Amino acid sequence: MTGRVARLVASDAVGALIVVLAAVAIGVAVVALLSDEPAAAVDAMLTGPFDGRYQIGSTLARATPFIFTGAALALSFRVGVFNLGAEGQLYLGAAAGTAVAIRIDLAGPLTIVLATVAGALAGAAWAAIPGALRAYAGANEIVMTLMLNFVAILFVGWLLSGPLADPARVGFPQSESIPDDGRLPRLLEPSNLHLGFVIACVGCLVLHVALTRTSWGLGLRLSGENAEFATYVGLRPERSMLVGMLCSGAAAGMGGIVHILGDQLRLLDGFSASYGFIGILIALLVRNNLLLVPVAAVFYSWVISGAQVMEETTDVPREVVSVVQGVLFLLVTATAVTTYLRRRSTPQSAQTLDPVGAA
Amino acid sequence: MSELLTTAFLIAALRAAAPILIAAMGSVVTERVGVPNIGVEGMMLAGSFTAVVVAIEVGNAWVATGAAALVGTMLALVLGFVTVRWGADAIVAGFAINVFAAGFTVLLLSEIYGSKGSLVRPDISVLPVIELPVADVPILGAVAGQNIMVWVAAALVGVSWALLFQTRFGVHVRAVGEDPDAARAVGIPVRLTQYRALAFGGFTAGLAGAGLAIGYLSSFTRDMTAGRGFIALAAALFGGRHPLGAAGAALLFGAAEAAGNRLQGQGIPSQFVLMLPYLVTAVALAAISVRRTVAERRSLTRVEAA
Repeated sequence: MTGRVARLVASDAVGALIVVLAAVAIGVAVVALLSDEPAAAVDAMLTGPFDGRYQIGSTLARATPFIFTGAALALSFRVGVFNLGAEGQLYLGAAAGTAVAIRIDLAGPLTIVLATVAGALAGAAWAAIPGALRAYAGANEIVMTLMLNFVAILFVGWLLSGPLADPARVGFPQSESIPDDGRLPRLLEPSNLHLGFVIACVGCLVLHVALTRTSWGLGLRLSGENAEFATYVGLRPERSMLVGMLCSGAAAGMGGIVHILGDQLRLLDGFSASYGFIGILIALLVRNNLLLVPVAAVFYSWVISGAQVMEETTDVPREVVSVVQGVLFLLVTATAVTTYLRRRSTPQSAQTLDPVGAA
Repeated sequence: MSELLTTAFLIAALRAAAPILIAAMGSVVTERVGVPNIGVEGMMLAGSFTAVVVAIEVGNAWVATGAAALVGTMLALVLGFVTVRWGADAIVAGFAINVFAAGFTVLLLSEIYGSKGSLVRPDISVLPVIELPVADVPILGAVAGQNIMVWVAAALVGVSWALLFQTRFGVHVRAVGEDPDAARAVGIPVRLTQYRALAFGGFTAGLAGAGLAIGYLSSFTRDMTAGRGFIALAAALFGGRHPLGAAGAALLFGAAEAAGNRLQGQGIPSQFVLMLPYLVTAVALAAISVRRTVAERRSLTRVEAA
């Protein structure tokens, strides 16, 4: 069993590695084309993010929200729903958690715990709407979640112009800063790496165990892979779908508030760097393998951190990342072919153990 | 509330609805063929960007519109290639198109024009307005001075209907969407049909992007489509994947956008006003799904009772 799992992790990792190398190679080629000093630009992009204690800490800190949204998406793909609403769930989680941290006066770490729980609940609640409509009314969750993103982001914008606005800086769409008690401890000063990174990695491990080692997880995965069979063995796939969506929303919401409590220290309008959407890429890159989600997130952070270092030190704009992003996405979707072939060549009974999700 | 239903409001609603409607017609066809085109948002954005750039560089709005439609079509063919040929997931691949278009337009914007936000040129060549002598007629006055894109949108409803229900291609599209294996068995070229349907989807999305950028507005701003592609997709679904239904839905969503613009500066926080089209779209989709499910349950219990 252990050997089998190790082999599957290895094959996921190898597949992801090929995609990553190809995308980075194309990125390097584009940079070399655009820059007047290609060698310096490429060097800044590739080595900048790990150049010293400060840069390493920043790169890991930047990866943290992507771990949460990557896990959120991997989870939703596993149960066979497309949660393209992680972006909105992240915003609402951040807002609910910030409200708790600012408004409720608690001693010490209790503030952090309560704010994080509030964030997770808000994310889950927002995901419950498309989740329930998908599971019980067959509504198109893709368009639904995309629409709800706009609603959530605008709603948070309103919160920051009214109920949650910083009284000291009227007119700026931002909240008061999080009180010291509510801040997550920093791990690698002077960088902004915070405890949230560890929480995210442990969270992925816990989710992985829950999904692969418990009957609850088996039920969820079974419903996602073969709803008909799940019904036949007495499971309720609709319920699994909703539960999966709730967990996915909770992970996204938690990612939002952890980013605020650890990194930004106050809620800002439009703070997300497309965390919810890039979560799709993270999840697909490692074929919904939760154990590998942190690795993919750090990789992605390396790419965007590299682009930022490059923009600061050379003449290449950071939007070059978009090319790498697009190529990554397309290559990741292309690897679906190998998934498809592998599925076909695997006997029926082994399919349920394959950690390859709906994608 | 009554001032919402003036001719001025109808004019604004039609203007706002036109890009959504145009892209919705393509979405009806792609939904019918069974390859959902989530990439419609990115194709539209790429179309907007292309239209503005070509309008500036060439100085001809018609050439710009053609180029936008061409770019949309090409992106759709890329999507077709990875999904139809490689068997990739259409949703994810479509999303890849969106991510790519969002970033790539900004990259080109900064590389060509040195701007990271927007591209506004007052002297840009835009699509013409068609003046009709009905400005003073009630209701009809709404179409008196509309941009040609509104008329293109109206014509596309007819074109899409004819395409789907009066041509051999339409029969193929519907057959492939219903059951690709059965379609293949009777000799319908499944992949070719999917490619052609997607190409139509990309063509309309690019056209819609041009309508938005050099018809509705006359500038390009990063992410300027702001979910209109997704709303077009929602219109296709809400309209029962039928051109007429989708057109009605697009008008509804366009009216929501126009109502939002109208309500601005009337004491309602701007965020809620901007929320309106997305909220209306989400509620509409939810309502129709619930209604369909309830109806199905009812007919089921009737069968069981009988």
